[in-house]
Amino acid sequence: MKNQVLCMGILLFMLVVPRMAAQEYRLQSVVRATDGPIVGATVLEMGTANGTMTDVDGKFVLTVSRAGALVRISYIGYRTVELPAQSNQFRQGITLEEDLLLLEDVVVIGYGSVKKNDLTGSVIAIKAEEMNRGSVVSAYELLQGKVTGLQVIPGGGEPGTSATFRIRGSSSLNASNDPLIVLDGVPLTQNDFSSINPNDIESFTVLKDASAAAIYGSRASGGVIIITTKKGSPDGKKFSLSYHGALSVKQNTQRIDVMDAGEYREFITDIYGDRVSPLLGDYDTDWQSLIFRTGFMHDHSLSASGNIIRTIPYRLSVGYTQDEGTMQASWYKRSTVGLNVSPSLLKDHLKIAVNARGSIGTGRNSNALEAAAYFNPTQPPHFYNTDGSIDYSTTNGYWNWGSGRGKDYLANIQATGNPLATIYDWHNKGANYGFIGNATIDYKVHGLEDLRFNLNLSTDETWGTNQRGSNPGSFDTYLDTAAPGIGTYRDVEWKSYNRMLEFYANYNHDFSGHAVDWIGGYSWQHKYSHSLTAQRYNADYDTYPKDTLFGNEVTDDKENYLISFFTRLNYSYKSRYLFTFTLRDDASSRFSPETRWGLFPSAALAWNVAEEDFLRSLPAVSTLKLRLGWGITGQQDIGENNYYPYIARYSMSTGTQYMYYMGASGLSYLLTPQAYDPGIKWEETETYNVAIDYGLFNNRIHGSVDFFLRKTKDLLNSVSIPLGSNFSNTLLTNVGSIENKGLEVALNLIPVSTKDLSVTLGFTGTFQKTKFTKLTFSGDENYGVQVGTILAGTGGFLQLHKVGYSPYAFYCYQQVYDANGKPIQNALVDRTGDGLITSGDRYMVDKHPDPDFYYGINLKVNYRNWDFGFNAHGSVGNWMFNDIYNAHSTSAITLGYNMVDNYARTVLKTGWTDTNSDAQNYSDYWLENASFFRLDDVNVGYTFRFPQYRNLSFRIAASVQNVFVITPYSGIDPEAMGAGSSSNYRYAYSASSTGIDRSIYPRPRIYALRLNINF
Amino acid sequence: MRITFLAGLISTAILLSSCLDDLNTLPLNKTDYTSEMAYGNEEVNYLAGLAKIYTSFTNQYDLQVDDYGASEINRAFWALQEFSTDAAKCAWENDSWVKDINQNSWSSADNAATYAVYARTLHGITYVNEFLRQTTDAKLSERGVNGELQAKIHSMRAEARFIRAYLYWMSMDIFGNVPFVTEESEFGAVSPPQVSRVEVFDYIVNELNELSVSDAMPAPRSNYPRADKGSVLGLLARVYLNAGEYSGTPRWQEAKETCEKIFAMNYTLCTDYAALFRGDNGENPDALNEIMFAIAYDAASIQSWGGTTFLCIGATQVDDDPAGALMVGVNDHWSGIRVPYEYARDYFDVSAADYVTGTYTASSDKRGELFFIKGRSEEMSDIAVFSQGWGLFKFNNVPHNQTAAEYYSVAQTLSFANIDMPLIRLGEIYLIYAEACLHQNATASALPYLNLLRSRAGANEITSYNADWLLAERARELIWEAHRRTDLIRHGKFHSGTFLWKYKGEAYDGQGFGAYMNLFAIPASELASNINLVQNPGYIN
Repeated sequence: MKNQVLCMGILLFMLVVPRMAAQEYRLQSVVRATDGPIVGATVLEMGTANGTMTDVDGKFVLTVSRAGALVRISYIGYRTVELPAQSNQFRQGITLEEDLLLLEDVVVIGYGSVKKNDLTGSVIAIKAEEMNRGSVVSAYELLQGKVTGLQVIPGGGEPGTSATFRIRGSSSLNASNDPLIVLDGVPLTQNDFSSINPNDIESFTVLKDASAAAIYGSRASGGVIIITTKKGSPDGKKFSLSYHGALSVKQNTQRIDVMDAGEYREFITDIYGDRVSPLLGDYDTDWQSLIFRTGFMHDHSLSASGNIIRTIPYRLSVGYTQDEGTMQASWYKRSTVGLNVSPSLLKDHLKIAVNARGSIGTGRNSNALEAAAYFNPTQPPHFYNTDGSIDYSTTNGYWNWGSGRGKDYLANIQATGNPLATIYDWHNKGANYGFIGNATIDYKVHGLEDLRFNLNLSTDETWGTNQRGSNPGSFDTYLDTAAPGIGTYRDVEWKSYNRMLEFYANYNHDFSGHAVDWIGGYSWQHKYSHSLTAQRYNADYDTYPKDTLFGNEVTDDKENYLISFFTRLNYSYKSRYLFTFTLRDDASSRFSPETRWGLFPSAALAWNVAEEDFLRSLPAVSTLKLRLGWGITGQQDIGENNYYPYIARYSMSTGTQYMYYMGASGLSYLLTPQAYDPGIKWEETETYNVAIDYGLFNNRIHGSVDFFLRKTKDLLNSVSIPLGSNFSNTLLTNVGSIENKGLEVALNLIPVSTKDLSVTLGFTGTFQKTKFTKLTFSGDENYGVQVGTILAGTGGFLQLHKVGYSPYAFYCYQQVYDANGKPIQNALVDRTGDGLITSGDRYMVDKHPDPDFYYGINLKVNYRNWDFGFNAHGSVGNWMFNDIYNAHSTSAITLGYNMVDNYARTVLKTGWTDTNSDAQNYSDYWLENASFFRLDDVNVGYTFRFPQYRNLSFRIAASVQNVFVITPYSGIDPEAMGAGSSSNYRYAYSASSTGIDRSIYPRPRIYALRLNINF
Repeated sequence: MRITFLAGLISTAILLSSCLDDLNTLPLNKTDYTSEMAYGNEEVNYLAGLAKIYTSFTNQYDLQVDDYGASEINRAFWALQEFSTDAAKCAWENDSWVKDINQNSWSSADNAATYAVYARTLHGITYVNEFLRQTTDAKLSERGVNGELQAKIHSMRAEARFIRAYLYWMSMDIFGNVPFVTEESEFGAVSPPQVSRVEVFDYIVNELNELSVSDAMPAPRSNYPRADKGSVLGLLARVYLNAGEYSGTPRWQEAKETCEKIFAMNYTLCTDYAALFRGDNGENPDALNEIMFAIAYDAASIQSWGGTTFLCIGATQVDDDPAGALMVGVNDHWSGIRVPYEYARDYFDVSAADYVTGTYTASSDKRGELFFIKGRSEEMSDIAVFSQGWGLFKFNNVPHNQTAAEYYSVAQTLSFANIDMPLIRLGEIYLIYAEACLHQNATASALPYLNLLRSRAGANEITSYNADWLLAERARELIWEAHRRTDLIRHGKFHSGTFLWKYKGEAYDGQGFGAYMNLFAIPASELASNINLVQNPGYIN
């Protein structure tokens, strides 16, 4: 790394600013569209920061350095024009041509950018401004339903949660399916961007197919999302200030359907009679209403941008969000600061860009929905003294199961704690800090301006501390065997970074119509993480003072290196025939020297038919492009815990319960060799893409249709291996293949586009299908990998990966129903006919959690200063196992536990009274169709403009988010499959619960009022 | 220009190659070291490697299985040896694998217990093989280990080989022809070869004979609970006892001689039979006089849901009075295992059973006084009703010199048992000796040993015995010690249509079943993944 800083030094050495001599020229003109003058068009002297904007009449005056200087005029939605200052056209006034598709716009792709019109791959670029005008706290909301082939699965309604992204479905099993997220050239460590202030985002580029993503090689099997943040403008606008603020009210809309106290008392007494009466209280407590509240959220961001001495554009932004969850006591605060400076020196030969972005996040979560739903409604929230005041002597005043009060209190270890205690009676202190920074130096060679060198040094760092645990005296502490009644807390500190050095050369030349754009480069990346975890006493206990360490401190350090060489050639002939070839050679420290290098090629062809003369005569067709792509990408990301799958590793046990008495030598820890595969190697995905981009009637109707086929082989997969040859019966190795195919359709309609009124209607739809084509070495088609644990049962699995089926396909017993269509408890179809219900009676239900089709719809209307819009998305053909009801499907209880829980009303529906057999837990009865349509938001805004005051404008908007969901699914949320990943979680959700609903934090409905000021 | 370019190229090359070295990173965590880093030259690391091998018997982890607690070898092996006979029935018949073992209706379908024995034995063997690969003299000297530590490691290697022999014995007893791997075998995701039962038998006999005379193998009774020469000969005696079944050729003479070598080793019977199976048996010098090899269960350091914890809590139910913890010293009750009444009646001559007060008489045999019958019954009309049958509290976590109430008030935890599980003890050796002598027509020399067992039990001494009596005496002395199936097979009674017990062969009154079932089926899932495996005869794949 040290050596590599030298490279940067060599380039900096050339940093000399020569003086410029000039013969100034005053340019004066007017800029129009077909229906009137254009206000606010940007006029810029090329190669300088010298520029201005047109006024209310479309007029402008600009003094340029010389008469021959190139001047660029641009305005969003129109084709950019570049002309020498002394051109005649300025005298006549400039008329800009409408360009609804922004084909001239430059799209950021990996290691460079191309004109939208010249794209060959499946690349979608969207400007943040155009995406969503509702209230956005997390940047992922901007992308929901907007891009074909991109599924955004939100993680639940908890403040600070992120989402899971899937581009064109999942093609890996044990390896990551997350797309690579690149922020201004920095690959992010965390696969979410919850710490980024959405107001700082300028645009997203989503690279979907291999030909586009291959330049990122090994990290790009799941596709790439490139985020570009707003920069200080290089144009003449000297200083601008903008403020975005939002005030939101959040309301819970979902509950788990359980009995109220009266209904419950009657129901349980009917079944168990007097035996249950000692376990019933006289209260009528609606626990769910006690845990929910109306949450408030406010969000502010302020940014300033400008240009110092017309050479150093900068942008500085600060943001602050305070978000209160709808569940009591849950909240999240985030402060962000971002700065970028991008000086352009040596007459634009040397461009330097420095980005720095910091964030501090703190939060506290609550996860008491399930506890509140099922806690006994006849019991009171608190223990009370005889005078009615709360008796704090027992479990800190919260009513809990057990016997005795005060010092005599004996907790009932079969019980769960009071939901209010779950919310309030614990502490959580800590913060997450993040810093993302990079510096790029781009040098255009003097005398050979077509050649440039680019060096990018970046780092993504996160660190923080956290202390959390139950309060001393709380119910949970009585279950803590380390210090009953006192408890311990977890004390964690961590840091991680992802540092990168990239260097590439770029040659770009137009040989009279034959445009060549070549890059070749090298990339070095080091990922490192460290954590220190300790368990400490909550308060003085026995001879241990508060904060004394219980057990051992556990340190965990991990690292991974990725090194790559890459090259790409873009060739185009008159923007008609386009060709791209990419080759990347990647090495990962995860694999052995024999297998660590993977070579990943890709190629794409595109034909801009619309540019052909024979189509120019057909004015109805404004865009027609055929694209053909092929490529191979690799995958090595099998998680932080698998950094050395090829080496024999040994782990020494740490807990006292993992020891053995070795006679005279005393107790010994255990040294365990881990299973490993010396030959483990890259997983490879081969992608084919065939597509048409179309536009009709001056692109009033436009969109694209993509067909893709992805075949992944050598899946990094945990499979059963013969016993005796390794240290486990399962091994992470390369075996199996998976196939995804799909059709993506994007359709945009612009029925009206005038200066006063414009209407845009967008529709994206993706059909997709994924199935395994091979899973074992032998190709045994009967073999299945069991996945998906459920709440009930003793560790069995609900789903199966199996050849011919989609991943996580449900593998169930078939429920037997009576004449009235009611399910009969513990009656399952004996499919083998042997008179017994054995695992052989399970069957592949042929239903899966992945949707067959998912879609997004959005509408934008602008009328004069008014704007209106909505966003919606949905899916069809995805099924969910309602595990939360499955686990509460019978009224059978164990009276010996001396506690009783509430019943879900599903108990009335099933009428079941016996204990469920283990097989019953895996019945297909609880599979439900989780197709849905969700209206994500509706928004309306009005913009006040004061062009006379330096283009001052402000917009006031109101929006409703999560307006409604239409679904046949009976649980809380048909999208409940997302993984919660916030590090301030007290209880971690199982991330692998694909298609299994274990109750999430319900997503609230949000009413927001928003103010934007631009100055 | 050209020189600059060249210099640039060379410096770039140097820079890149130094970066490429980054790819050779090694684990940073101490808990995640490579073998060289993990072992080094410290004794504690080698000890931990060997400790892992001892916990092969208690291991619930490291393998992916449905019910990790039930996957422990001791628990699964016990289930196969006892549920399949007249000595125990498990009430968890809703689990089809339990029913199959209870009622001798198993097939080649996956069965949790057979899979556990198959997988855990081989799994433990791979650990032994790795330990042997990592402790060759060449490796040790590379790591700078020599002298005293090297000698200790030689002993550890010998102990590890004993454990491997024990695991092979378990696997071979249950499955016959089993996959065979040693430290020489190929490693990775390959299919190990299957060898015949007699080859495994020969291998075990060779290993044990070699260890019994090796200087590296620790002396008898030198370092409890670790294996020693007494353990080696004890297992060897058991293997010889069953040689006829395992290899087709009886080895009675060798069995007899092996027992005699053990007699010279200074073991004596524990004076109190019950104390052998109490929570403090690993600390009680009296019990340790008899135990030749045991697995040292401990409520703090093992926390297994198998082994002696299972034998305690599996034998009690929530309605027992007083509750299980106040009788067997472990605070849970799984309503699992009990003895069919007929077994108690036939071998312990019990009478005057009162199921309300829980009293009964066992005709002057202390070994028959460990039953618990309060709230239980004689009837076993429904095998899934736990209270049908006789409870047995032979394994009792309460120390031998404490009452349950005393223990309850001082125990650190009541969640797990501290009872060491005796796998080989002198009592068994006496019985092996008697059986060998019977076949060698030398019963007179065995009578004194048998009468030592008899008098400890408070039972009448004998003056002669035959094979049936000996089988019955084993039923008394070794009840619930995981010998019953092997004993019945050796005596030709396991599948027989004339020696019957309730539920034998899926009939309430019992019936014979196929002789092929003397071996269990190799788990079907393993046949699918190991291409070298051939299923045992009689089973359909």
